[in-house]
Amino acid sequence: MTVDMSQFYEVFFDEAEELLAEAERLLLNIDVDSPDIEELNAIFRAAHSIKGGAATFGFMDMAGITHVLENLLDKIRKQEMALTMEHVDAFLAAKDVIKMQLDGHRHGSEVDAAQVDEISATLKALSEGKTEAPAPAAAAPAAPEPAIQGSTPAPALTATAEEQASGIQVYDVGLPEVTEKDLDNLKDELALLGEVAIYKRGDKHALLVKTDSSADDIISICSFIVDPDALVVKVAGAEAPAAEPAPAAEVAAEAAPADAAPVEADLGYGFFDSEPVSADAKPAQAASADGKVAVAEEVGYGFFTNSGEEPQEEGYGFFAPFKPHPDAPKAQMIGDDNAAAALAKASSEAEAKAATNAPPAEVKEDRRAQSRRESDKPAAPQNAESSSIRVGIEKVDQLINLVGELVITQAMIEQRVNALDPTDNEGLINSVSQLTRNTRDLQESVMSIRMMPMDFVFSRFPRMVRDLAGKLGKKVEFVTNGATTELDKSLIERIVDPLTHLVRNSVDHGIEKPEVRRELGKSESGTLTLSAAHKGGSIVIEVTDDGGGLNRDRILAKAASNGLPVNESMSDSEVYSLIFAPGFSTAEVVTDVSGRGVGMDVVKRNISAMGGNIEIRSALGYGTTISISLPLTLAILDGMSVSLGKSLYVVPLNLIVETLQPRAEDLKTVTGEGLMVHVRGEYLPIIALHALFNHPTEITAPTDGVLLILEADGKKSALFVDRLVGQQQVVIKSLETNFKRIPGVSGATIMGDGSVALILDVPAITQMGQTTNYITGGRSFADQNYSNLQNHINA
Amino acid sequence: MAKTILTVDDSGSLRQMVAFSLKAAGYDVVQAVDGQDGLNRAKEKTVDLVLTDQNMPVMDGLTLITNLRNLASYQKVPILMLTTESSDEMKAKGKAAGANGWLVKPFDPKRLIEVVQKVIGA
Repeated sequence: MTVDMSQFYEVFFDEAEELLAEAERLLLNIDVDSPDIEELNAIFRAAHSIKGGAATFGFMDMAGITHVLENLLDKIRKQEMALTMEHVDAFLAAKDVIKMQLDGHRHGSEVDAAQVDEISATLKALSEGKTEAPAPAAAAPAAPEPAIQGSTPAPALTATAEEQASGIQVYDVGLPEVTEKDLDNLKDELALLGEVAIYKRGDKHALLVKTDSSADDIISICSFIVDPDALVVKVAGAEAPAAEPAPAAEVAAEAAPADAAPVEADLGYGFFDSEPVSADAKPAQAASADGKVAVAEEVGYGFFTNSGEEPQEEGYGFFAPFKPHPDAPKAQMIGDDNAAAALAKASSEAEAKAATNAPPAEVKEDRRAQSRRESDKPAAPQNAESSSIRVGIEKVDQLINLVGELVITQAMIEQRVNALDPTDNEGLINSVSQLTRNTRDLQESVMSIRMMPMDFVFSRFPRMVRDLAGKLGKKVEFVTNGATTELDKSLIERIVDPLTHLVRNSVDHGIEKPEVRRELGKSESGTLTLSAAHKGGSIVIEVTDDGGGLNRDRILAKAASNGLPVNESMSDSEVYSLIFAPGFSTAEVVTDVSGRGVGMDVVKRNISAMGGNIEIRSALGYGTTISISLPLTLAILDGMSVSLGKSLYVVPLNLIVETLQPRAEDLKTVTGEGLMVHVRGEYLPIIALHALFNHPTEITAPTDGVLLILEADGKKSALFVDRLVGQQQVVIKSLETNFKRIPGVSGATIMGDGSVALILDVPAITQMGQTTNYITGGRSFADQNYSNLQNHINA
Repeated sequence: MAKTILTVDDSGSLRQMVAFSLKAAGYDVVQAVDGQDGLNRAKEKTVDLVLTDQNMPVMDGLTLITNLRNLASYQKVPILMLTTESSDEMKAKGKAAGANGWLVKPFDPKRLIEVVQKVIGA
């Protein structure tokens, strides 16, 4: 039977990524001075599981490095070695390297071999108890190089008595015929375990490996490059190298005289069991049986092997008697070997005794251990995996699309039905309203499939903040709130970059160095908070630091010198928004404050592209909060449909503060600002949509139409349209993919009657409206200012 | 009737690989994500063979084996450890806990099936 392993690769990759992320999370939170043993165990298990999977699925580079990592972690969790900050740093670096290897296998991305060598050398040095990291030149793997081309004599690679005492052995690995490439690969992989030298024995190659790992590890590593059955591994020096690799049956016979009980055992084989001997047992098996006796005696068991194959080669064994199954193809009870039968009997008896004596003692101990572990982790959601399924994102998207269509169709039906006589069609109308509710529920359920917790984004920051703070010599405590808040997957992915930028800015420019903070009477360690929360139909993500805050005067001065239109009467939030202007910050910027402007225009553009808003609140000396609000999903919008002439437009509901019909006395013309409306003590610029879009309509005076008070980017303005039509959920269709990008329009939707309505891009319109105000100037935006505005929007 | 095998491993990829191989060879497979889960599932239905990993969260393989052997219905059910640890010490512990044998990871699915067939038949 053959099993195509590749079908499990994706599962393994996902799993390994999760394990790496979990290990990183644990490492970042670990208390170096008194680490929690359960956490160390969990980190160890992560490395262990990745190693096991990587070895099974043939990713030997990953298996190699996780093996070294695992060894070191094992020493630490067994408290043979104290955890140091250096360890944590090395583990985190190793995590990055393993992730790089994983991405290499998964996406074919590049793997930096030097980095791999460096970290494996570092880990090895650490596990040998050296405190200083080795030179990054990967000294260890390089060492054996000169020996490689030696044509016959075995290179001098020996373990001293002390080294042997500490478990370091030199193994002689006889190889079958291999290509040069495989040989190089083998050498590289084995170099992860220790020193390696290659020499020629007869017409085949052999390797000497000096390592504290077991022969089993060597075989595991080799087994994905060469056939493990053709390997001959033994402790070097125990026996003169054989002329050539022995076929499987001879291996044990050869190894047995070396009396390498540990080697035997390390090979991972041995039967401790009364399995019957097959009738055609060959003499070669007797030899292997001899080899087994040594092992078996150590544990007080008779045993013997039965099968025609060489069980030692198979990496498995049986301890205890079990009733050989009558169906078992090779397990016929026809032992013709008396000695074997006797051994089998002794084995059963011994086992019976052990079964009555041994287990109860162990049980107590194990139960205690178990209850302790369980009390430590009472609420671990162990079955999360079995209650969830993995589905391709395209399937979900298709589902969402179909539901979107259904919503539209449903709206059409509703509209038709509403035109019917309610008394004649009462049943139909009731049914349709039931359908409306069902459709809405269905839509909400489907949309929730795409929702992912913000933790997917937040989880990457502790590491980044830690590294960055370390680099800058700052102390930063990182706090997250609302990590379980859910957001659409596509938005989750797109929020990462802007948020990374903001967090980096906060650590870099916001939070002061410890000595500065101390002088200011603040705690040495700054606090950086990432939070997410639902507010209405939006999610609000905030990056807050308790650093120096923004300096209004400096921003104004800087903006003025950059030629931006500024004046002293601007509100704080308007002033802070200046740092989002393209090129606001340049290389000449040296102050903490203006440094924040680096790339902020990009951040803002990204957020706007997601249909979101960004706002800054700051207090000089106390810190800064940057607040991003995003729609929950890109697929559906709560909108207000408004009419303009014969067309409908949709305005995102969450950006509408209020709507009103202005009185003539509330309208004022301000020189240079155009027509304003006076609303509750504020003068807001009026943006006439018909003029902006050059759209024919009969209503040209604001008093005849309706003003929508919009708030975007911390600025309010009044959008002048003909009529309000109604509030409804609309399914967003991208105009860009289906047509082309139009300034001021973020998308389109299909209305209940089948007509198409454009969805307004409010932040863009606000900006466009500021640049040109149709009423005062009497100019048409489309005619005169198009290119100017185009630049403005694209900026 | 097809024989049922319980495979216990915290690593989903390995567990699925084992389960897939066993199913392909005609066995029914019950999967569990750790020792405790394995114990619960073993109690729900007495299986014909248990394959368990050693190093798992919540409850490790040795504890699982010990617990299984304390159940009347699991006195005679063969239990194999699938483990990367193949030291004598680990084997001795496995045997003391009541395991019938071990299979070292990484292993080839073919080898797994061979071993399983030896223990409970095709």
